[in-house]
Amino acid sequence: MVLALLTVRGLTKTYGPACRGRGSEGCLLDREDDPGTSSCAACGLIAACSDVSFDVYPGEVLGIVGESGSGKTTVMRSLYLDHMPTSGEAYFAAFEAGRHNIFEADRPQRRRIRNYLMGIVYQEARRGLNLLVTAGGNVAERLLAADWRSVADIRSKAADYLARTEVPLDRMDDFPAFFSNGMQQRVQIAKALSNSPNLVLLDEPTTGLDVSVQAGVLDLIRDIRRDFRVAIVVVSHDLSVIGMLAERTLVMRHGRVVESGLTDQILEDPQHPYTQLLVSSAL
Amino acid sequence: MEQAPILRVRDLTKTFTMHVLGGKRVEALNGVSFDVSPGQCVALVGGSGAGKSSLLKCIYRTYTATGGAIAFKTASGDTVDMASADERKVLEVRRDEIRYVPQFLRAQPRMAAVDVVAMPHASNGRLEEVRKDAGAMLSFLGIQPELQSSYPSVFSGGEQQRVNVARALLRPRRLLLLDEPTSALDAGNRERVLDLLSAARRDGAAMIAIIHDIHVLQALADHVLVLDNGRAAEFGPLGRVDAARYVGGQP
Repeated sequence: MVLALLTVRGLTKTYGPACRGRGSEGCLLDREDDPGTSSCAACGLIAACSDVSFDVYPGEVLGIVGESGSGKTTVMRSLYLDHMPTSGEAYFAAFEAGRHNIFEADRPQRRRIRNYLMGIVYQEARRGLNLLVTAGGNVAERLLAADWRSVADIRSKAADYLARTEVPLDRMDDFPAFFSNGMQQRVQIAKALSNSPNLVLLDEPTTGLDVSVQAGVLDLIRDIRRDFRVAIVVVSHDLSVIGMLAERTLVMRHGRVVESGLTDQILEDPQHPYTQLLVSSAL
Repeated sequence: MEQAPILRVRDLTKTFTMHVLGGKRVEALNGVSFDVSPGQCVALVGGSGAGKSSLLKCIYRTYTATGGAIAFKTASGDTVDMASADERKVLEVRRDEIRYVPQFLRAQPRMAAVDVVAMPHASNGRLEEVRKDAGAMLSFLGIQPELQSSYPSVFSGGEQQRVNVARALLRPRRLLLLDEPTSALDAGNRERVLDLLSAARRDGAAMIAIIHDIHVLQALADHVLVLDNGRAAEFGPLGRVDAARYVGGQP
């Protein structure tokens, strides 16, 4: 029996005070079914994600699909500890042997999780990269954060990963601000992988890219998965991206997981009305 | 001597509820039961829309069965109900024991044909060895080395089908689910694919195959399951079911 690498339970992130138990209809957060909205009619609370639970196993790719506003990115940023969830737990086998909730980690522990144990690729490169530090410098920053000290080692490691992600080495000392979107994504991927993390989070890694560039980035992700045997959570609104990369998939809507299953089952035999709509809307 | 079945399908039903069409319900399978033993090949026959592909997809769990049981006996002797097993277990069974060959090749884009065949079998390293075997099998099936390094998306239908079959047969699997495995092939290639499938059967692989050609059926199958409107109309040994009534082609 293989144990989960990451176990997420009841992850909830809300904005505004909740009217739990006070409103006559009951707060959005207390409803079990899909409420059809992410904001509570009684108190105005916004539930960006609500009671999200799932497991990620070593070496697998888990997909998360859903329309914009469904809470996909909120889940990713919660896992990377960019913000603290309102409630919920996540146990990560690489951190304290999975015995402690990562959302209760103290600051040094959070740094360790972010710098050593996980990597992330954001949809917008400017969130994941410092565009006015060179491409090599961006990777080096992450290695420095993970206590690499020798300049020569850092530089050769950064060069390795940039080469692996097909960023031309003669551009290593250029600023990513002057790179194309596809190349910026590849620098982000190099940065995310450089510390050999146990888990990589990809948030819409190919959205907004030209089809040929998108193909290059997807192939890179596929190769990385094969060569590094790293577990990946990939968020996309694009079913074909999920179909290519993920073995299992969660479908989110209004902050909730409405369906989960094997990716081929989600695509060919969707059960939930929303998943059926999503699949039937594909081109 | 008859071996214990590797797969027991019992009262399998599959109903699709299409919410996008106002909750319309379509019954694809209705109470289907049959067994398959190691080394046996069950031919699935019946008109279009009878439920043949739905049956294969339920066994592979691409479709989730609405009711009934699909008991698969694994190599280690456990029984896994493909209708209800958890996702992780299904993925494990798919990786090690059951292969599904859809009628049309679905492969990772921008991957060389030889890798499309080799990759699913290279889970514990040894990629070079697996790739060599993949090349040899593709050559046997008439896909020449220069073609093996190109992408199957540019191949003809018959070439894609041979890549598809090679991918399933490169390493032994205990159960093969085949959706018209020779439909796009010329006579010579059809014989070569049948040779490979027959060899897999002799090695103990069980098969369930949708077949529309009486020649292929007689060469490969020993049992016939006739589906009619989602129900098992007839099931029995090849000699006892008049398969020719349901399929085309000359014997």
